[in-house]
Amino acid sequence: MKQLWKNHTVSLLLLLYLALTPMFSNAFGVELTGKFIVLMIFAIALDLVWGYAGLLSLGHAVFFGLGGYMLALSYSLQKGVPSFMARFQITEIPLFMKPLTSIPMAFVLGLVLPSVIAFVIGYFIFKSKVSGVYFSLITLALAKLFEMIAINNQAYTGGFNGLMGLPRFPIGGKPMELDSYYYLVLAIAVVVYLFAHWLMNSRFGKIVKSIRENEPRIAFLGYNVAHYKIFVFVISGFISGLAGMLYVPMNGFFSPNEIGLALSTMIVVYVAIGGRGTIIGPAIGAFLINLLQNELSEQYPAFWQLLLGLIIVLVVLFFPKGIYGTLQEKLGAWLAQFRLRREGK
Amino acid sequence: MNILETKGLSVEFSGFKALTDLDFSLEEGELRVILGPNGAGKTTLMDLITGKTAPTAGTIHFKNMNITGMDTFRISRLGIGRKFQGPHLFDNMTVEENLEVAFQGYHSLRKSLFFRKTKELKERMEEILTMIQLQDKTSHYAINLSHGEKQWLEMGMLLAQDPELIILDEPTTGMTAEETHKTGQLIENLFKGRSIIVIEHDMAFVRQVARKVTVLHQGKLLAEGMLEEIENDKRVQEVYLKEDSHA
Amino acid sequence: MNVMQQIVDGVSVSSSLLLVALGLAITFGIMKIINLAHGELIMVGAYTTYAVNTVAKLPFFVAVIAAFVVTAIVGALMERFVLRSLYGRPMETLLATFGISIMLQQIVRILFGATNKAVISPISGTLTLGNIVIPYLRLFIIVFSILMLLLTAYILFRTKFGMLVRTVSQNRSMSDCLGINTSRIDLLTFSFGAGITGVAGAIVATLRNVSPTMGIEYMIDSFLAVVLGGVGSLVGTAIGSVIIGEASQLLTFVGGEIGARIIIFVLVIIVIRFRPEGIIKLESR
Repeated sequence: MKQLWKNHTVSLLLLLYLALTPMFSNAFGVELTGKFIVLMIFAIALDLVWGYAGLLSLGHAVFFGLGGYMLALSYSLQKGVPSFMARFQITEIPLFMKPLTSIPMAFVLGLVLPSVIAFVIGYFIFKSKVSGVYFSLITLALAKLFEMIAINNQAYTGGFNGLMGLPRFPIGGKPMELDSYYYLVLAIAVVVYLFAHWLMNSRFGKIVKSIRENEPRIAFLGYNVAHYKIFVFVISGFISGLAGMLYVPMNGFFSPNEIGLALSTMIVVYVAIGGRGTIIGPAIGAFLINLLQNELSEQYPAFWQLLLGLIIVLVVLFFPKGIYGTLQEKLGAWLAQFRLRREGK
Repeated sequence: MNILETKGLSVEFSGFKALTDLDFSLEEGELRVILGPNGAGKTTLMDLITGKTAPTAGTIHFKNMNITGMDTFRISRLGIGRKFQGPHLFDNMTVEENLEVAFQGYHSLRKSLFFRKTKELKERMEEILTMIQLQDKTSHYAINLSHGEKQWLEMGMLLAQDPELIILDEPTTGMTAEETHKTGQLIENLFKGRSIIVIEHDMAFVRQVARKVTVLHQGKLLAEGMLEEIENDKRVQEVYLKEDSHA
Repeated sequence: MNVMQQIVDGVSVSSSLLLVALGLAITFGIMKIINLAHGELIMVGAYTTYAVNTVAKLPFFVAVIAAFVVTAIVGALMERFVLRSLYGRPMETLLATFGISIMLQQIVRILFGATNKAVISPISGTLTLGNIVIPYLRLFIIVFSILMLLLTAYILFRTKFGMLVRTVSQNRSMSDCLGINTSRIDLLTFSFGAGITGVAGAIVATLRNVSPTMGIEYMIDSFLAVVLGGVGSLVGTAIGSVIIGEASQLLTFVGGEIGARIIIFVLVIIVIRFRPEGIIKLESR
């Protein structure tokens, strides 16, 4: 129990802060924090694949975006043919989009589609033993590809401008208050956090970590590495798709930005700065960077980006374990010293 | 019966013949030492047997099953365990975690997701930890262990894995004379009844454990026989033993 | 359906790609550094050209030289202060260079503003051969890219510097033992690769708008060209560029831009799967 308390102190503190936010923030603040929470969920999804399995995916927004687009399109189709389609003389909702007219169906698709794509990609890449740099390059190219698809198919995706005017917080057609939706998102975040911890502390998680640490060695112990990689990748895709969908009602707007390179690389930054392989680290990274960005980018936009780039370089050079990772290490060392000194007395 | 048999085994890398037409067999329960100068093909032979590399010709049979060209993880599951030259551990995982993943029988996704340590498993882990003298360091990260401790942890993992055929690639590298002797004893005691292949250079260690010896040279079989015969064999002396016993 | 025109256009695209991929052939192919700021180095070259040629009104070839020098300096700074501490750690290198890419984009935005700039092509007019039309600029680029390839090959294989570069990349510890100042060679090699990339940027500036984000597209394609053609081989990079350039041109004509991308993508994956070293395999044990 004591161990549990120690390991999750920071998480609990953060949870407390987030739970109290609606009480001291206005609607804008709650919405903003809600978006942060969604990105934290997304960061945890990437941590599973990168922090634990050691696979640096530079195109993870593909899964986030697929999930989000499913829901966003569904909302857009609720009142019949939307304007971005009508502009192209489309008078009827196309057949392949008909399933999206049902919001529950869209929700299911938003979970299934990213997972299936993750499976297909994972199957071809991991069974072929492609790894390391090549894997990252392929995911990078993939993000670019999906971004292009979203932009170039204006008739079906709203193109470069994305899908706008999405209704806030109807879940399954029923409207929801901002605060209620916020707590729903927070609850889901907690569930994802607990799930991630359970998964990575299980034997499965240990094997995944072994793959990161010494892939040939774990193969020599009889484990089918490709299967484990695919499985983690699919789970991560699933959670990312979920996050994408949660983002839609918070934001009211969804565009190719949410499926392409920009978000893919930012999520990597969150995880790297927060501390990979710790689950709460990436969540903290997502939270802090978005907080900073929000504070600074309005007043000093050019300065903020420069600062961000510099922070990334400094973290890589001097704090490779990220904020949380370094904190954990230092705290652990300090505690050990403290205990030694106490025993010495 | 022969637990391992290769026939006409050859492998070529871009024109370089690492192994040529090698016939090698190991009896069940036998301990064989493989000797040979660097580049003779010893590690390559192990790579072929464990599936790390695929041969360009020839076959490999393990327990009468054809394992030529099989994936490493499948071969490992059939019962072959390998220990590499240097410590080959999971650095950022604890001693306990390193040991735990070595236990066989829980390879499938489902089994690993819902795995619970049984009482027997826990007891066996305690046993092994005591044998390798790391019972007080279970939460230490493998990367923080001393060189000797790392080697012992690897031995422990082999014990946990409990394979029928054990391949030890220069297990005494970097060890003191005392540690080397201990390792020899460990191999005798702990791996009793298992079939073992040992690649070694340290002749003192070889004399401690060996009975039958195989000598490779430039990818071919040079000589095979009992240790005393081999040590007195002219060809072997010329090629290998003429230099120091630490060739 | 003018297939010949498409093929010729494809050669043109391939030559630009070869230019931008050459620098990567050195930094990634030879030095094995994953530089996510490669696109930004192209951009730095482009902006230098803008500053020297369009603003300062100096001749184009002066701008090209300036692009080489400025980008080489940027590369040197990168190597000295960041990359040097990260050798042998690809993931960290990737992240750090990503951070640098953001910084470079921002610095350029601060210095030049965010609006697109234009560099006027020094060569105008088109050549018409039958029913094929080629702008002279493109011809120039094709010739220039081949010259750059030959020059780079010459430097790598016929000069002492090139030999040192190859020695260090193939066996660092041995090089150290031979008294070669490997740190200095690393610095010079990376700067050289960056400089070449800057030159590519100068040329590319004549083809399209100069903007802070112009390099990203090129970066992805450069990596694909190097990986496809064979990491570590200049010829491989050339072949990779030609394949991707031609394929994207022809396939775009047939199946649209996205279709082309997908096919190239699949092609690269297939090659990586069956021949991970790329088309031109460098012999090694």
